[in-house]
Amino acid sequence: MRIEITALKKCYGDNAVLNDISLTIGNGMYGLLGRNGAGKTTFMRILSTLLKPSEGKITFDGIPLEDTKRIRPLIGYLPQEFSLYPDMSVRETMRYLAAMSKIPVEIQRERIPKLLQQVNLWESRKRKVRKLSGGMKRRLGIAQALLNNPEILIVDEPTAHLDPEERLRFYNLLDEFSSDRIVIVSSHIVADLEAACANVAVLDAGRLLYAGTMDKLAETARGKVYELRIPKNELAAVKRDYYILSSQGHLSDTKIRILADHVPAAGCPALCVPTVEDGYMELLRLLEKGEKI
Amino acid sequence: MKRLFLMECGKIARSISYWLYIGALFAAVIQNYERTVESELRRTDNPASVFYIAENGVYADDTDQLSEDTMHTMMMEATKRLMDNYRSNSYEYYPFGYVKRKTLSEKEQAAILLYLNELTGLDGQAIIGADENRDSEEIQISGGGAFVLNPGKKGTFENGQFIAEPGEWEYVENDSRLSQSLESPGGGFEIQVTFERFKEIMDCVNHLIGRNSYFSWTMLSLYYYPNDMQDTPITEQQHREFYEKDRVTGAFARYFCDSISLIILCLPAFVIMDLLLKDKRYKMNTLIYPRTESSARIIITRFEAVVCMIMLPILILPIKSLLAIVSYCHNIGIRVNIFTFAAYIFAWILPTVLLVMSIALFVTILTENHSAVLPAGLIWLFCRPSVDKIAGGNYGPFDLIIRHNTLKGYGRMMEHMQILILNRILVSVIALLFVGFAIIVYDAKRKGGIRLES
Repeated sequence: MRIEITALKKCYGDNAVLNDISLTIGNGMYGLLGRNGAGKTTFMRILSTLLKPSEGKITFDGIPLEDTKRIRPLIGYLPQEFSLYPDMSVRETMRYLAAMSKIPVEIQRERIPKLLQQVNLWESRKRKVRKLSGGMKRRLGIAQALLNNPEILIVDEPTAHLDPEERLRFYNLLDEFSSDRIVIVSSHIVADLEAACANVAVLDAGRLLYAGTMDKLAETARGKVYELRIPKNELAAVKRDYYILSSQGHLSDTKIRILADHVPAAGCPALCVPTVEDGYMELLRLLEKGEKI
Repeated sequence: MKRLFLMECGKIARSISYWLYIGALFAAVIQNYERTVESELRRTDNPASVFYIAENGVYADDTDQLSEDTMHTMMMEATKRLMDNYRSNSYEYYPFGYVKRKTLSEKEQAAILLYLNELTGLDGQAIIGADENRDSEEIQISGGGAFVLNPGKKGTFENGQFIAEPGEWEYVENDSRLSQSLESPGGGFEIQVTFERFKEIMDCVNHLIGRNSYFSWTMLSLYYYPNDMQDTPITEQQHREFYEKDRVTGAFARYFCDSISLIILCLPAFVIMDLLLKDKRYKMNTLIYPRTESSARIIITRFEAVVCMIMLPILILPIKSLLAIVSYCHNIGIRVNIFTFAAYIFAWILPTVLLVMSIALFVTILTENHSAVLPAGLIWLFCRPSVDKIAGGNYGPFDLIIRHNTLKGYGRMMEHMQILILNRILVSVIALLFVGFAIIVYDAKRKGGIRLES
């Protein structure tokens, strides 16, 4: 399966929410990174056939997005915000959405228990949705998205409001499913995607800043990440001159990590191996400076 | 599809709006229909009862003329009723087609008392006491005779328990008792005004009470002209229609349909609106929209589910009274058609339910908010026939509901059967058009043609 996106544009009136996006997405986990309001949700809604693009072309193995009858059976979608009917039990919810997906009852009988076991909700199958925790709801969300055994799974900000343990479990779950299908996951948290996705696209203000591997994204910051230890009273000056990635207080000193085009003069700088987050921040820094990316 | 249908039914059964609908339906049936059935079964010997079978084969005449007797009966009965209402300070009126009661201020009560003085020649004290003197009642028949209800037995057992047995009806023709009774029918007063003055007084009383009071000319005509309302003695034609054409249950089925007509004109809209808005309330749209099931199937399944859930209690509620009617008819050796209720409900009620709900369906899918309340309210206010047609008569091709608040009047309805069939077909077709529009809008939303809520 291959998704080809060419010159995608989405406007609401005069406001372009997505502008000239061209991408190719293949099998495996694909991350979509960007700040809040970058256009990630709009992009995912378009891929899920919930929104029409204003311009551009999207094909799924050559099938145009507009052919919803053929596209929808291929897609599983977990939106960022959903809450499900509170009076329905976990199993009822699955049956209801399975019926909406035209899944025959015999297949439902086989698939629903299997999916609920995979997401660790089988024991809670009779529990009403209103009594589920946030993490359980998310897991139910992923189970419902997999009901039609989709070739493309689109998951929008799946770990919002989840605790670290639930987040880890959730990404492991997605990883299991991604071996032979496309899983597109959006997030504004780099660490979430770094561990799970081999490829990533970075969106900002509706523009595609980067599309490629995670390693290459990290490479964009190579030679620009420094770690220094400075007295606390110099911190304000350093903050003014450099792009701070992190800072950690140690008694009278502060250990900071910065992005810089040149070797900083203060604090015995040590050049560091860049992480994906450093690469992402470098993209944003270049954007703020108005440099071409 | 069957599973989806059943699950939609389950969702409806769990909604508050559905139980409010059932409650309102239940109240309307108890108040308007079951009481009438019980009353008719209790008064089978009363010449005004549809069940009445005259042993001598003599029934009231079929006439539309306003005879002296009718005028007199109207004046007497209306005055008695005004006295009763005055004593309890509780006046019936029909502001929205259904009967309501109103309490008047002291000043208005004083005005009513003046009118009663003028009508009866009695003073205030006598008016309060006049009704207590009445021992017998009669129903005047526009043919010379009258059915007289003889006084019942009253007494006290040795153990101190008081008993009162009802008297029996007796047909009396040119009898001295009748002439005596006509001279002083209330047992305590005589009408002191001309019929024209009576009408003027009733008009003033009507203004004091409010819109469509019992004393309006419309209502007085309905009740006291020889017509299809319940309080007039049954004519031979009505008797034949009831037993031979309607086969008893037809008349009750019509009455049942009429008694719930104002409920089904409005509340089903709220049930379907509630069902559809659950998707928005629980953010289910984004989970349902990308599913493979077609928009037509989703909307039609949901619509079918609501229609079934709305119709289910309508089909169940008359069963109790139907059993009582069947049992009574069995005892007197008359076979009835027990399927008439279902036929009337589907032909009469269903098209209205379809249209009311399809409009709400369309508006709710289009707006994704409670805007459907507006058309539902407007329909309820403006699509009801005027009160003078509650016993039937709104037989236009575009009338949304048909009223027939009487157990009689089979013939009048049958005369208009063709237009009624056309009406029901038109209403159903318009309903299906709205369902079609709803599918188009829903499909456009699913494909992003119309923007989703944020």
